[in-house]
Amino acid sequence: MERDRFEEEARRVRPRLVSEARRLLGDPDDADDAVQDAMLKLWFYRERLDGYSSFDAPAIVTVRRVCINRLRSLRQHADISEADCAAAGEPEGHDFQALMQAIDLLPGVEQAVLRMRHIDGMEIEEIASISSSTPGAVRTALSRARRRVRELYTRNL
Amino acid sequence: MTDININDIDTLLQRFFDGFTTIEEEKALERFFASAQRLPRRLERYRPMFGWYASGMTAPLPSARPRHKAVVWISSVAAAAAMTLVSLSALRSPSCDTMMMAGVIADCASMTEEVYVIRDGHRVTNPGIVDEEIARTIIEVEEMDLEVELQRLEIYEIQ
Repeated sequence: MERDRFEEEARRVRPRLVSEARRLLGDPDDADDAVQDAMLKLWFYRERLDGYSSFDAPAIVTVRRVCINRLRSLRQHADISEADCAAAGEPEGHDFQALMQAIDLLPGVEQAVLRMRHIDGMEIEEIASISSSTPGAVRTALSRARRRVRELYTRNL
Repeated sequence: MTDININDIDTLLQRFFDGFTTIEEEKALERFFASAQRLPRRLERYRPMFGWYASGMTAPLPSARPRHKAVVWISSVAAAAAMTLVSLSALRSPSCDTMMMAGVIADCASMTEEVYVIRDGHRVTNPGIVDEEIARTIIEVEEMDLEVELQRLEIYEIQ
Protein backbone atom coordinates (compact mmCIF):
# COMPACT_ATOMS: atom_id res chain seq x y z
CA MET A 1 0.00 0.00 0.00
CA GLU A 2 1.37 3.37 -0.98
CA ARG A 3 2.12 5.89 1.69
CA ASP A 4 -0.43 8.52 0.62
CA ARG A 5 -3.24 5.99 0.65
CA PHE A 6 -2.07 4.58 3.98
CA GLU A 7 -2.21 8.02 5.58
CA GLU A 8 -5.63 8.70 4.11
CA GLU A 9 -7.00 5.38 5.38
CA ALA A 10 -5.37 5.91 8.77
CA ARG A 11 -7.09 9.29 9.16
CA ARG A 12 -10.42 7.87 8.13
CA VAL A 13 -10.40 4.83 10.37
CA ARG A 14 -8.83 6.43 13.45
CA PRO A 15 -12.06 7.42 15.25
CA ARG A 16 -13.30 3.84 15.05
CA LEU A 17 -9.98 2.49 16.31
CA VAL A 18 -9.93 4.93 19.21
CA SER A 19 -13.47 3.94 20.12
CA GLU A 20 -12.51 0.25 20.07
CA ALA A 21 -9.38 0.84 22.14
CA ARG A 22 -11.29 2.86 24.73
CA ARG A 23 -13.84 0.12 24.98
CA LEU A 24 -11.14 -2.41 25.80
CA LEU A 25 -8.72 -0.32 27.83
CA GLY A 26 -10.92 2.31 29.43
CA ASP A 27 -8.34 5.04 29.80
CA PRO A 28 -8.32 7.58 26.90
CA ASP A 29 -4.54 8.07 27.04
CA ASP A 30 -3.92 4.34 26.97
CA ALA A 31 -6.30 4.09 24.06
CA ASP A 32 -4.42 6.75 22.10
CA ASP A 33 -1.14 4.95 22.81
CA ALA A 34 -2.62 1.67 21.66
CA VAL A 35 -3.92 3.20 18.43
CA GLN A 36 -0.49 4.72 17.75
CA ASP A 37 1.10 1.32 18.39
CA ALA A 38 -1.39 -0.40 16.10
CA MET A 39 -0.96 2.10 13.26
CA LEU A 40 2.81 1.76 13.39
CA LYS A 41 2.50 -2.00 13.21
CA LEU A 42 0.18 -1.67 10.24
CA TRP A 43 2.71 0.64 8.61
CA PHE A 44 5.38 -2.04 8.80
CA TYR A 45 2.83 -4.55 7.49
CA ARG A 46 1.59 -2.25 4.69
CA GLU A 47 2.95 -4.24 1.76
CA ARG A 48 0.47 -7.00 2.57
CA LEU A 49 -2.54 -4.79 3.28
CA ASP A 50 -3.57 -4.68 -0.38
CA GLY A 51 -4.58 -8.32 0.02
CA TYR A 52 -7.53 -7.24 2.18
CA SER A 53 -10.74 -5.89 0.70
CA SER A 54 -10.70 -2.97 3.15
CA PHE A 55 -8.31 -1.26 5.50
CA ASP A 56 -10.81 -1.39 8.34
CA ALA A 57 -10.73 -5.11 9.08
CA PRO A 58 -6.96 -5.53 9.57
CA ALA A 59 -6.86 -2.21 11.44
CA ILE A 60 -9.56 -3.33 13.90
CA VAL A 61 -7.92 -6.73 14.35
CA THR A 62 -4.56 -5.08 14.99
CA VAL A 63 -5.78 -2.57 17.54
CA ARG A 64 -7.71 -5.26 19.38
CA ARG A 65 -4.63 -7.47 19.46
CA VAL A 66 -2.51 -4.59 20.77
CA CYS A 67 -5.08 -3.84 23.48
CA ILE A 68 -5.37 -7.47 24.51
CA ASN A 69 -1.58 -7.78 24.73
CA ARG A 70 -1.47 -4.69 26.91
CA LEU A 71 -4.18 -6.01 29.20
CA ARG A 72 -2.47 -9.37 29.51
CA SER A 73 0.82 -7.71 30.33
CA LEU A 74 -0.98 -5.94 33.16
CA ARG A 75 -2.47 -9.26 34.34
CA GLN A 76 -5.99 -7.95 33.79
CA HIS A 77 -8.96 -9.44 31.98
CA ALA A 78 -6.97 -12.58 31.28
CA ASP A 79 -10.12 -14.32 30.17
CA ILE A 80 -10.45 -12.24 27.01
CA SER A 81 -10.80 -14.70 24.20
CA GLU A 82 -9.05 -14.81 20.84
CA ALA A 83 -12.49 -14.83 19.22
CA ASP A 84 -13.09 -11.35 20.61
CA CYS A 85 -9.97 -10.21 18.80
CA ALA A 86 -10.83 -11.67 15.43
CA ALA A 87 -14.52 -10.68 15.28
CA ALA A 88 -16.48 -8.06 13.29
CA GLY A 89 -15.33 -6.76 9.97
CA GLU A 90 -13.53 -9.93 9.01
CA PRO A 91 -14.28 -10.75 5.40
CA GLU A 92 -15.75 -14.15 4.96
CA GLY A 93 -13.12 -16.82 4.50
CA HIS A 94 -10.23 -14.40 4.92
CA ASP A 95 -7.39 -15.64 7.03
CA PHE A 96 -6.26 -13.26 9.73
CA GLN A 97 -3.90 -15.71 11.33
CA ALA A 98 -0.89 -14.39 9.42
CA LEU A 99 -1.71 -10.85 10.51
CA MET A 100 -2.20 -11.79 14.15
CA GLN A 101 1.02 -13.74 14.20
CA ALA A 102 2.83 -10.83 12.59
CA ILE A 103 1.42 -8.29 15.05
CA ASP A 104 3.28 -9.83 17.95
CA LEU A 105 6.53 -9.78 16.01
CA LEU A 106 6.26 -6.29 14.55
CA PRO A 107 8.23 -3.53 16.25
CA GLY A 108 6.81 -1.70 19.24
CA VAL A 109 6.24 2.03 19.22
CA GLU A 110 9.73 3.06 20.28
CA GLN A 111 11.55 0.79 17.90
CA ALA A 112 9.20 1.73 15.07
CA VAL A 113 9.70 5.45 15.58
CA LEU A 114 13.47 5.00 15.82
CA ARG A 115 13.53 3.08 12.54
CA MET A 116 11.29 5.53 10.74
CA ARG A 117 13.47 8.43 11.85
CA HIS A 118 16.99 7.03 11.57
CA ILE A 119 16.59 4.55 8.71
CA ASP A 120 13.70 5.96 6.64
CA GLY A 121 14.64 9.58 7.36
CA MET A 122 11.07 10.64 8.13
CA GLU A 123 10.18 13.96 9.68
CA ILE A 124 8.34 14.00 12.99
CA GLU A 125 5.18 15.28 11.31
CA GLU A 126 5.27 12.46 8.76
CA ILE A 127 5.56 9.83 11.47
CA ALA A 128 2.68 11.50 13.35
CA SER A 129 0.49 11.42 10.26
CA ILE A 130 1.19 7.75 9.58
CA SER A 131 0.68 6.71 13.19
CA SER A 132 -2.46 8.83 13.62
CA SER A 133 -0.89 10.63 16.54
CA THR A 134 0.58 14.05 17.27
CA PRO A 135 4.11 15.39 16.78
CA GLY A 136 4.38 15.71 20.55
CA ALA A 137 3.57 12.04 21.04
CA VAL A 138 6.08 11.06 18.39
CA ARG A 139 8.83 13.19 20.00
CA THR A 140 8.07 11.58 23.36
CA ALA A 141 8.38 8.10 21.87
CA LEU A 142 11.56 9.07 20.01
CA SER A 143 13.07 10.57 23.16
CA ARG A 144 12.26 7.43 25.16
CA ALA A 145 13.79 5.23 22.49
CA ARG A 146 17.00 7.27 22.24
CA ARG A 147 17.42 7.38 26.00
CA ARG A 148 16.95 3.62 26.18
CA VAL A 149 19.63 3.13 23.52
CA ARG A 150 21.90 5.51 25.42
CA GLU A 151 21.35 3.51 28.60
CA LEU A 152 22.33 0.28 26.85
CA TYR A 153 25.48 1.81 25.43
CA THR A 154 26.70 3.63 28.52
CA ARG A 155 25.53 1.55 31.48
CA ASN A 156 28.79 -0.32 31.98
CA LEU A 157 31.12 2.63 31.36
CA MET B 1 24.47 21.75 8.61
CA THR B 2 28.16 22.59 8.89
CA ASP B 3 30.39 20.74 11.32
CA ILE B 4 29.50 20.95 14.97
CA ASN B 5 31.40 23.31 17.26
CA ILE B 6 32.38 21.36 20.36
CA ASN B 7 31.16 24.26 22.47
CA ASP B 8 27.65 23.54 21.21
CA ILE B 9 27.79 19.76 21.53
CA ASP B 10 26.22 19.46 24.96
CA THR B 11 23.21 21.54 23.96
CA LEU B 12 22.80 19.57 20.75
CA LEU B 13 23.04 16.26 22.59
CA GLN B 14 20.36 17.35 25.03
CA ARG B 15 18.07 18.27 22.15
CA PHE B 16 18.84 14.94 20.48
CA PHE B 17 17.81 12.96 23.54
CA ASP B 18 14.71 15.13 23.93
CA GLY B 19 13.69 14.40 20.33
CA PHE B 20 14.03 17.97 19.04
CA THR B 21 16.98 17.81 16.63
CA THR B 22 16.49 18.08 12.89
CA ILE B 23 17.59 15.31 10.56
CA GLU B 24 20.48 17.54 9.46
CA GLU B 25 21.61 17.99 13.04
CA GLU B 26 21.43 14.26 13.67
CA LYS B 27 23.62 13.56 10.64
CA ALA B 28 26.05 16.21 11.88
CA LEU B 29 26.22 14.44 15.24
CA GLU B 30 27.01 11.16 13.51
CA ARG B 31 29.80 12.84 11.50
CA PHE B 32 31.14 14.53 14.62
CA PHE B 33 31.51 11.32 16.59
CA ALA B 34 32.86 9.43 13.60
CA SER B 35 35.65 11.91 12.95
CA ALA B 36 36.59 13.52 16.27
CA GLN B 37 40.08 12.45 17.31
CA ARG B 38 40.15 13.14 21.03
CA LEU B 39 37.07 13.72 23.09
CA PRO B 40 36.46 14.28 26.78
CA ARG B 41 35.34 11.12 28.50
CA ARG B 42 31.79 12.41 28.91
CA LEU B 43 31.54 12.62 25.09
CA GLU B 44 33.70 9.64 24.13
CA ARG B 45 31.12 7.29 25.67
CA TYR B 46 28.64 8.32 22.95
CA ARG B 47 30.91 7.41 20.03
CA PRO B 48 29.81 3.75 19.74
CA MET B 49 26.15 4.74 20.01
CA PHE B 50 26.31 7.26 17.17
CA GLY B 51 28.32 4.73 15.19
CA TRP B 52 25.36 2.38 15.59
CA TYR B 53 22.94 5.03 14.28
CA ALA B 54 25.27 5.87 11.39
CA SER B 55 25.50 2.22 10.36
CA GLY B 56 21.72 1.98 10.00
CA MET B 57 21.07 0.36 13.35
CA THR B 58 22.04 -3.00 11.91
CA ALA B 59 24.25 -4.31 14.70
CA PRO B 60 22.62 -5.84 17.80
CA LEU B 61 22.29 -3.49 20.71
CA PRO B 62 24.42 -4.12 23.79
CA SER B 63 22.81 -6.64 26.06
CA ALA B 64 20.15 -5.23 28.38
CA ARG B 65 21.27 -7.69 31.09
CA PRO B 66 23.57 -5.96 33.54
CA ARG B 67 26.98 -7.50 33.14
CA HIS B 68 28.23 -6.57 36.54
CA LYS B 69 25.69 -8.47 38.64
CA ALA B 70 27.44 -11.81 38.35
CA VAL B 71 30.79 -10.15 38.92
CA VAL B 72 29.50 -8.40 42.02
CA TRP B 73 28.07 -11.67 43.28
CA ILE B 74 31.29 -13.53 42.67
CA SER B 75 33.33 -10.72 44.15
CA SER B 76 31.03 -10.68 47.17
CA VAL B 77 31.45 -14.40 47.64
CA ALA B 78 35.21 -14.10 47.37
CA ALA B 79 35.24 -11.12 49.69
CA ALA B 80 33.06 -12.94 52.19
CA ALA B 81 35.32 -15.97 52.00
CA ALA B 82 38.38 -13.79 52.47
CA MET B 83 36.75 -12.07 55.40
CA THR B 84 35.84 -15.42 56.90
CA LEU B 85 39.35 -16.71 56.52
CA VAL B 86 40.83 -13.61 58.05
CA SER B 87 38.23 -13.59 60.80
CA LEU B 88 38.92 -17.22 61.58
CA SER B 89 42.60 -16.43 61.67
CA ALA B 90 41.91 -13.56 64.05
CA LEU B 91 39.83 -15.81 66.28
CA ARG B 92 42.77 -18.15 66.47
CA SER B 93 45.05 -15.27 67.62
CA PRO B 94 47.54 -15.47 64.75
CA SER B 95 51.02 -14.19 64.77
CA CYS B 96 51.02 -10.43 65.12
CA ASP B 97 53.84 -9.93 62.61
CA THR B 98 52.13 -12.08 60.02
CA MET B 99 48.84 -10.25 60.43
CA MET B 100 50.62 -6.93 60.01
CA MET B 101 52.28 -8.13 56.82
CA ALA B 102 48.90 -9.21 55.54
CA GLY B 103 47.59 -5.72 56.22
CA VAL B 104 44.95 -6.98 58.61
CA ILE B 105 46.19 -5.03 61.58
CA ALA B 106 48.17 -1.80 61.90
CA ASP B 107 50.21 -2.72 64.94
CA CYS B 108 50.68 -5.36 67.58
CA ALA B 109 49.74 -3.21 70.55
CA SER B 110 46.39 -4.90 71.01
CA MET B 111 47.63 -8.39 70.32
CA THR B 112 48.05 -9.76 73.81
CA GLU B 113 46.44 -13.17 73.49
CA GLU B 114 48.31 -16.40 72.92
CA VAL B 115 49.01 -17.32 69.30
CA TYR B 116 47.59 -20.69 68.15
CA VAL B 117 45.90 -22.62 65.33
CA ILE B 118 43.88 -25.83 65.35
CA ARG B 119 45.32 -28.82 63.48
CA ASP B 120 43.76 -32.26 63.58
CA GLY B 121 41.70 -31.14 66.53
CA HIS B 122 44.75 -30.09 68.52
CA ARG B 123 45.71 -26.64 69.56
CA VAL B 124 49.08 -25.69 68.14
CA THR B 125 50.97 -22.69 69.45
CA ASN B 126 54.27 -23.07 67.61
CA PRO B 127 54.76 -19.62 65.94
CA GLY B 128 56.32 -21.18 62.83
CA ILE B 129 53.32 -23.44 62.28
CA VAL B 130 50.86 -20.64 62.99
CA ASP B 131 52.57 -18.31 60.52
CA GLU B 132 52.65 -21.08 57.93
CA GLU B 133 48.90 -21.64 58.34
CA ILE B 134 48.14 -17.94 57.94
CA ALA B 135 50.44 -17.59 54.93
CA ARG B 136 48.68 -20.52 53.25
CA THR B 137 45.32 -18.88 53.93
CA ILE B 138 46.49 -15.61 52.40
CA ILE B 139 47.69 -17.45 49.28
CA GLU B 140 44.28 -19.15 48.95
CA VAL B 141 42.55 -15.77 49.12
CA GLU B 142 44.85 -14.36 46.44
CA GLU B 143 44.12 -17.35 44.21
CA MET B 144 40.40 -16.73 44.67
CA ASP B 145 40.90 -13.10 43.66
CA LEU B 146 42.62 -14.24 40.46
CA GLU B 147 39.77 -16.65 39.76
CA VAL B 148 37.26 -13.81 40.21
CA GLU B 149 39.21 -11.65 37.77
CA LEU B 150 39.32 -14.43 35.17
CA GLN B 151 35.59 -15.00 35.52
CA ARG B 152 34.95 -11.27 35.19
CA LEU B 153 36.83 -11.21 31.90
CA GLU B 154 34.97 -14.31 30.72
CA ILE B 155 31.60 -12.79 31.53
CA TYR B 156 32.54 -9.57 29.70
CA GLU B 157 33.45 -11.52 26.58
CA ILE B 158 30.30 -13.60 26.67
CA GLN B 159 28.20 -10.46 26.89
